[in-house]
Amino acid sequence: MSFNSPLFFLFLFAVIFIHFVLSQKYRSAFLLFASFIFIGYYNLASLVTVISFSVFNYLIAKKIIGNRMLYVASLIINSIAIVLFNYFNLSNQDHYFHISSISFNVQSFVVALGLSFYSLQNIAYLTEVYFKRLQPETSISNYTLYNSFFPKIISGPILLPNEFIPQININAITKEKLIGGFHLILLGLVKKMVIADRLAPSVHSIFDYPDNYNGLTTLTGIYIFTIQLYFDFSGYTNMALGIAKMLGYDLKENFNMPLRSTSVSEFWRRWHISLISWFTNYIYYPVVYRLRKSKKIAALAGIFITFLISGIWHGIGFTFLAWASCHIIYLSFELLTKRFRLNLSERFNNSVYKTISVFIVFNAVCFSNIFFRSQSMDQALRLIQNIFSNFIPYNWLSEFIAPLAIGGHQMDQFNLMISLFIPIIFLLFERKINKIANQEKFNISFVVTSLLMILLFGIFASGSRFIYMQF
Amino acid sequence: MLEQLQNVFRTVFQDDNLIISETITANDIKMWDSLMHLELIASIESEFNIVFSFNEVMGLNNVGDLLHLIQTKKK
Amino acid sequence: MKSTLFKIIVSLLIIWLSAIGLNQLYDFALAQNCNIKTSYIQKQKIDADILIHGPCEPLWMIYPKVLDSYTGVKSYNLALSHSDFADNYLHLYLYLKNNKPPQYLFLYVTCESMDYKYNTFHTYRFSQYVGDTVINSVLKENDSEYYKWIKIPFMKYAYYSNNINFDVLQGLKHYYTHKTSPLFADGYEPPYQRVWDNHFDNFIQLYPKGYEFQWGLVREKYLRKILELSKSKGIKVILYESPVLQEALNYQPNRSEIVSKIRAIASEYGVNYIQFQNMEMAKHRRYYTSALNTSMEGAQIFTDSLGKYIKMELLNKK
Repeated sequence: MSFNSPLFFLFLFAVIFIHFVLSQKYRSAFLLFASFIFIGYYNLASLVTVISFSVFNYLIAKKIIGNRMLYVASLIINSIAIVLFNYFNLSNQDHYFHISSISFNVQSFVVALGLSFYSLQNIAYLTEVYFKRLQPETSISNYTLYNSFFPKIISGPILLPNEFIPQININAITKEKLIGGFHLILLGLVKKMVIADRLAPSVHSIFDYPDNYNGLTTLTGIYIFTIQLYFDFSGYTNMALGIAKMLGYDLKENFNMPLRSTSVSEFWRRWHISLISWFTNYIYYPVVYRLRKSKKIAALAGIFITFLISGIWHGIGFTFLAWASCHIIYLSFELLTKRFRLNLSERFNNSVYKTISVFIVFNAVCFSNIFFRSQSMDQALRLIQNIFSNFIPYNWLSEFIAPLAIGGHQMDQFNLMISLFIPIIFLLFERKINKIANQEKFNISFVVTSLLMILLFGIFASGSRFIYMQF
Repeated sequence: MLEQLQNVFRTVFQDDNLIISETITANDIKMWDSLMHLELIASIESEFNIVFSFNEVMGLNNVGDLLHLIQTKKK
Repeated sequence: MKSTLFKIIVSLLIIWLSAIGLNQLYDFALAQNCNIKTSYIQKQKIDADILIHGPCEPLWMIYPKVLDSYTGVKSYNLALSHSDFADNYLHLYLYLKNNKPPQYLFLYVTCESMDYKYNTFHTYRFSQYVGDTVINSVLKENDSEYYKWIKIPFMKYAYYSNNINFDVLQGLKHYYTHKTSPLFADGYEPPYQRVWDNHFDNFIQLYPKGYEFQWGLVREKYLRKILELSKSKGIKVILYESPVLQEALNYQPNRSEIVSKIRAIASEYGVNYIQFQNMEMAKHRRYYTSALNTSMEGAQIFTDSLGKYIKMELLNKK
């Protein structure tokens, strides 16, 4: 059940309605039940996994205080789960584990919905309890709901137990929350169906075919990927937050207009915020705290270790290490030149300096994302090589528009124009749009415009089979 | 003590005109971000000859908190 | 609460009315677009004697004007690129709704026609005819996901809006400029700029030992439906295959098996399956853009031979 399938909307409507009419004391049990259905529908292994890990961590936390061995062991178990999950999730082929003569089909066991997200939550929880910053939870069902809550199971946001569990017993659903949540769901749908999914074919065309496109064509495709990734993920997050809101829960915002960042460090405070604050709190600060006597070296080491682990968390492979290396370099550079850049910004006209910075940061992020999206290191290097050769297309139609529009017909050009026009307008007016979407009063023009945009320009089915390919 | 602390701030953030007061937070000083935070802490530790625990470092929100913490450590 | 409820009702009403309005607009505009073959043949009487049908190969290869100079009768190229037999079947069905049945129907059939990997059913080409029972049943069988949505106003267009929006604008333009003739009047799209496109070379890289064609049962079903529909209308069907680039045959290990299955179906309905494989052009890449599609030059050569064939064999003219 993906977030924009008809079946999901039926499910969602039923869940929100039943949850609303139920009396307070049954609501959390019902949500747990609905989440189990959602996860179990994806696959049974995911359901078993989320329950097992919830119970395991819940029980461990009760015994963990003062028991360093247990703490370390449970951290290792949760971490191994993430690494295994990522490793087997990366390739779609089945993997077999051979232990002497018995072989297990690992694929069906390890590919568990949301595991790499809720494992981070579990690690955070154990850490908070171990260092006595948080009391162990007293309700196993609440703890399981915290991990399996269906709006956030797929890709977060990552929360601390104290950011979620107290809400279980308050969750008053007001008219304002229902409307605000509905607005956010619509915003997310527009981002996903009208922007991200429209851009996906261009990205696919530039990244996944071994053609040597012109520099500008390749560069545009790379820019489009970052924009697609942003709208896809932030759209998902809007929907997750919106659904949660309609169920009476406030989750943490995950994106704060990251493409407007004037530095990479600012970018990381605005992009996938819940993940980065996890890394800051549980990797970066502990590392730098220990090494703090070495000052700048400590911060550099902190950046290095944090992004190395972040790279592994995102996926196993050299491409993710390369992606992490980019950000290690960017952030180290920024750390060392911070005073210099601040002085520079004071000397220049602020808006000019800002515009240039945004442009540089966007390019830096896009560059790192080449590795993030590429299937292999070879492919990434080929793309980079392409950027720097034959920059200006000789024939604009066949060498620029056709690869990006997947076809050179007038229709393809028209569609590409719309696909690019909408995100540009959206990004320019993002602050305004977000403000309207976050209103808790029913906004007719927002609702009508969003729905009409989806009807007129939304992608319901990829339609990739219509693209003419000879084999 | 505020002046002594201000000197540490000035050295760490490479700004000789920086003026701090109790209500100033990390948001008010552009140089003060998570990348610089512990460098500042380490400098304060060596300047005042004290040691902060991890939880204390994480709990600091503004210069006032910092001053207060230094004072209790000094006693 | 009251005002919110009121706003919700107003929004729903606006959306609902817009959907109905857009639906009407799209219906109208698509019918005005004479570059859409289905719209054109619905609006304009073609009444051809010879109908050419199939996917891109006949579309880019058979030039009705040239054919007519040989045969002296009127022909029309009904083919549409990338289309499978279900697609072809509905086009024939729509053609026959507004035109007299042709005397002859030349339907392109090659091994690829039977394999799901090649060509497909283009749901959106028939969106404007949703509601027609024949169309609906074919849509249901070939794109069941789409079929689920069509009861909701405008969803028949919204679902594949990317394939439709441009045609709607073009339709409106045709309406305001009073355009009545399509860009390609007799249905043929000349491969002017087509050159050898490396598809075949890529194919060899992908399948160095050749590709075994898979027999698709839905393909067979709609091939039969075309034959049955033609029979009921008294149309004489000729299944044909234009020459395949000779060297490509080395990469079709089960070609003879598929061809004989096609022949078996043809003979069941008492129709001929003609293959033009012996033509000289098959030996030279310069007449081709890929294994099956020809260049402009190849298209002219093939149309000439087809014209001669029809004149001699079918019309018995000397």
